[in-house]
Parts: sequence; structure tokens; C-alpha cells
Amino acid sequence: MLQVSNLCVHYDRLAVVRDLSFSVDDGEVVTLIGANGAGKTTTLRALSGLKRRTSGSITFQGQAIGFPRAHTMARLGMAHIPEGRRVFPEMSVLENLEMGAYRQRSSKLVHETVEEVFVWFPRLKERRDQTAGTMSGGEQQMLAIGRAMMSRPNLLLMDEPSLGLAPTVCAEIARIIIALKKSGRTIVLVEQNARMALNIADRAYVIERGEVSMEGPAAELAADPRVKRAYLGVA
Amino acid sequence: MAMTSSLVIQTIVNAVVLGSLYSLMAVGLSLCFGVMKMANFAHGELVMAGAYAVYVFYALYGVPFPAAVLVAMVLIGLIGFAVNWSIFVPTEGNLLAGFMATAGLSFVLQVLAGQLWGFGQPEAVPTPYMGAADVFGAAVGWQRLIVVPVTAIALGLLWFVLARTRAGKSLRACAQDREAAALQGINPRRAAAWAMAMAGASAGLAGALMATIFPVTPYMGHNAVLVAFVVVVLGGMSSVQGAVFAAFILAAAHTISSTVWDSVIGMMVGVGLMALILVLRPQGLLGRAAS
Ligand SMILES: Nc1ncnc2c1ncn2[C@@H]1O[C@H](COP(=O)(O)OP(=O)(O)OP(=O)(O)O)[C@@H](O)[C@H]1O
Ligand SMILES: [Mg+2]
Repeated sequence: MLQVSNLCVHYDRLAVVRDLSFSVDDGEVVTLIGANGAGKTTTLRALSGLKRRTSGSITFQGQAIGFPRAHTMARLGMAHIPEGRRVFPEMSVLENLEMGAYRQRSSKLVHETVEEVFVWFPRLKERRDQTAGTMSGGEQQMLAIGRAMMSRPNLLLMDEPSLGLAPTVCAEIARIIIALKKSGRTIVLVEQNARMALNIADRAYVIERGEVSMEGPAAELAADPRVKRAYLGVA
Repeated sequence: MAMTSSLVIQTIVNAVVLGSLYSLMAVGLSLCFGVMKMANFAHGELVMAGAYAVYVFYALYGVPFPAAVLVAMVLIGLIGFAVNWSIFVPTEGNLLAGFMATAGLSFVLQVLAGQLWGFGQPEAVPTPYMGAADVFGAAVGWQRLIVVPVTAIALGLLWFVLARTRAGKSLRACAQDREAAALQGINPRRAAAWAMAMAGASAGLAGALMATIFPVTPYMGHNAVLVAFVVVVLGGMSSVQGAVFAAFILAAAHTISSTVWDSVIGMMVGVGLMALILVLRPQGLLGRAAS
């Protein structure tokens, strides 16, 4: 599905992502974990075209990816759920979902997909006419996920879906991601909440200062003493 | 100064006519500020160009007035599109560069209009609709009155496009979060091109309607751009409804103070009102507070 090799990304002259390589197979959930400022968000932004990479290669669905802008990557089937949810604050829930299906011109198909998303998120159905900016953080995260699903993407990039949410809401979001995984979706999950991410994912990469420092099956990394100490808060 | 009832009605009608023109001048500026976060200093010259389009097609070539107005909208819409392509795409993301480049363009367009049609006497555009209507006992010239329904139709159309159509919604999405919009497959540069074309068409319409009421000169954009900026700032920068609302408030303040005192004081009252509202509500009348 996705191969990233020797990815380098700079802000001005500062290297934020250095020689980062990872891959994601069809139907797999891969997590990138790491501390604040490790370069996780920057990596996802380079994948979805929001930030131009300096060097390195990206292969998506067997196709080498040049330097397309974000709207082109979205059209290729990559849906990026950005850090901080970024719903359209002054649009209704329904309009937000419609924007997710912007490329789909058949309003009948858009309508069908909206109904599917409402099955995943009954809460969004209840609040379909509410202005997105007035919803709670958890609801906005559900909307952001639902909006991304509207394009029927082949790959979902999720940047810290649990950020700033209360523990019960976090658990709800985690259940949704697990359900998405069971339905066969391919996901790259970026998280600071390493415990949650390692529970959900098949494989994991630990990112430190823009480089991969460890990689392996999620269960193995969760048992690794170094990971336990640094990311799971276990002495 | 005592106001007779006919003078009161006259003042109200004048305020509504002026508010309509102010709305048309300002909505495009506000739309572009929202979608592109760019300020077009040459917006006033788009209004001026609309007035000259009516002068050329209607007064010189004898094209029927409504057709000349439509031609003005299309032509100035294309100019808006060209301004986006030649200035706002290269200066993308740099508000000051775009502002300075369009400031330069505004002088170029003024000189160009002066070279083509002269700097001296204002151009005379004959009145397309003779006579006056009786509005509750006040006589109001048809060519002024016609501004109100035309503006209502244009703003209604703009509202419909933004609120109901796929393209219009993509413009609003870009205005609310450009990156998030791009992630949905919306091309922000295409949205910008549409926004500038619509800004040009609305500014062109404002100028076209003004051509028969006010003198047509190369410098008429000065006042238009000042008014447009005051209105957009008052309305909350990127809120189109806010701009319309603010346009009528500014027009009322201007008309009442011009009737009671004179038009210079009218403009001072308008700008003073802007300063006062910005002190009380820095985000403008309908703008959202920065979070
Ligand atoms: N727009 C920017 N301009 C300059 N530097 C930036 C910019 N965005 C991020 N950085 C820097 O790049 C580094 C990596 O940031 P990034 O947001 O990718 O980290 P992250 O792993 O997502 O962190 P977090 O867990 O806090 O979200 C940080 O040092 C950050 O300061
Ligand atoms: Mg981040």
C-alpha cells in the first residue's frame, strides 16, 4: 500500500525528518509513536502533500509519488485526518461530510455514503444540522474521521485522534479505530498516547528526532523495556 | 435643521441606494480576504473599470443599458481572474506582497483609464431610465431606485452560490480552513480563481450602476476602495453577510450626516464609526473572535 524510503523534510534549513523509512501493507494498522516534536505530524504532512519533502521516495498503491499538492493526493485515495481535527467550524455536520466527498459528483452516492457514516457514528446523525465549531472535542474528532471516510479512501492517516480528549472519549475513539481495522481499512496512526496506539496497531515505529529508532510488531514493542520506560510510563 | 417627512423618506431611500452600492463594492473584497487571505488594493479600480465599461458600451456604442451592465460584469470578472493569476498566485501566502503589488496595479489602471479616456472632464453617461418614482411622497430618480432590486438579485445569487452549490461550498471550506479543504480534494488555487472572478463581477456591477449616478473618472476607485475596506473591516474581514450588514450601517451614517451637515463630515462619521466599532468589537460586527 505505502512505502516510504529515506524521507527527509526541512523547515527552512532545519532537518525535522531525517532518512525515515517505513512501510504499510494492505489492511494493516501501523502506528508511529514518539515524543513531542519528534516529527510525526511533519511526516504525515509530507505524505499528504501539505508539506513538500526535501528528498526520499514515496510509493503509494504501487505508484511512485512525485511532488503533488494536497488536493491531488486526496484524489489518489489518501485521506489525512489532521492534528487538531480541523473540521470546517462554520459549516454544519452534514456540510462537513459533503465536503469530504467533494470529488464525488453523484449526489445519490454522496447521500448513500453519508448514511453509511451515520451507521458508524449515530451521534453525527443526531447532530447533522449542528454547526461543527460548537461541538465537543470528541464529536469533532468523530466528524473528522467521518469526513475522511466520505471519500472512501484506500489509506487513512490519523494524527493524534485522542489529543485533548477525556479518557472515556479516548476509549470511544479507540473502539472506533479498532472497528475500522476489523472492517479491513489500512491506517497509519500517529499517537502520543503510545499505550492506546500499541494496543490497536499491528506494527509500530518509534520515532526520535525525525528518525526511526525502533520498529517491530506492536505487541513486541509494547513489551520492550526501553519502550516501556520511555513511552508507557513504566519504571 | 428641521426635517420634513419627504426629506426623511428621501434620506432613507438614499441610504438604501448607497448601502446597496457599498455592499456590491465590499462583498468581493471580503470574499477574497476570506478565501485567499489576500487584500486587493486595486479593488476600487475594478469598480472604476465597471463604470468605464458601461460608458464605452452604453454611452459610446449604444448597447442597451442592461446588456452593457452584464458585459461590464463579465469583463471585470475576467480582469479579477487575471489579477489572481498574475499577482495572487505568485505572492501566495504573503499578504503584504499581494497588497503592494495590487497597489501598484491600481495606479497602472488609473493611468491607463486616463490615457484612454482623459483625466479632465468626467465622462457623461446619459440616464437610461428617465423620470422619477414616487416613494411615499418623495421623488426618487429611476436610475437610482433600480440599484436596489439589482443589488438584491445579485446578493441573492451570491448567497445561493455560496450556501447551496458544490463550488460555493468549496469556497467557504477554503475560507474556513484552507489546508483542511485541500485534504478533501479541493484545489485552493481554483477556489481563489473563482473568488477573484466573483469579486471582479460584483465590483464591475457596482461600477456599472454608479456610472449613471456619479461622475465617471479615472480616480473614482479611490473612494470605492476606501469604502470597501471600511465596510469589510467593520463587517468582520471575511464575513460576507457581515460586509452587507456593515455596508448599510455605514451608508446610513454617511447619508444622515451628509444630509444634516455635508459629505466631508459624512465620510468622517463613517470612518469614526469604524474606529468606534473596532474598539468595542475588534473582530468586527459579525466576525468571529480569533481563537
Ligand atoms: N511550520 C513549522 N515551522 C518551523 N518548524 C516547525 C513547523 N512545524 C513543526 N516544526 C518543528 O518540527 C519539529 C517536528 O514537529 P512535528 O509537529 O512534526 O512533531 P510531532 O512529532 O507531531 O509532535 P507532537 O507530538 O507535539 O504533535 C518540531 O521541532 C517543530 O518545532
Ligand atoms: Mg504532531
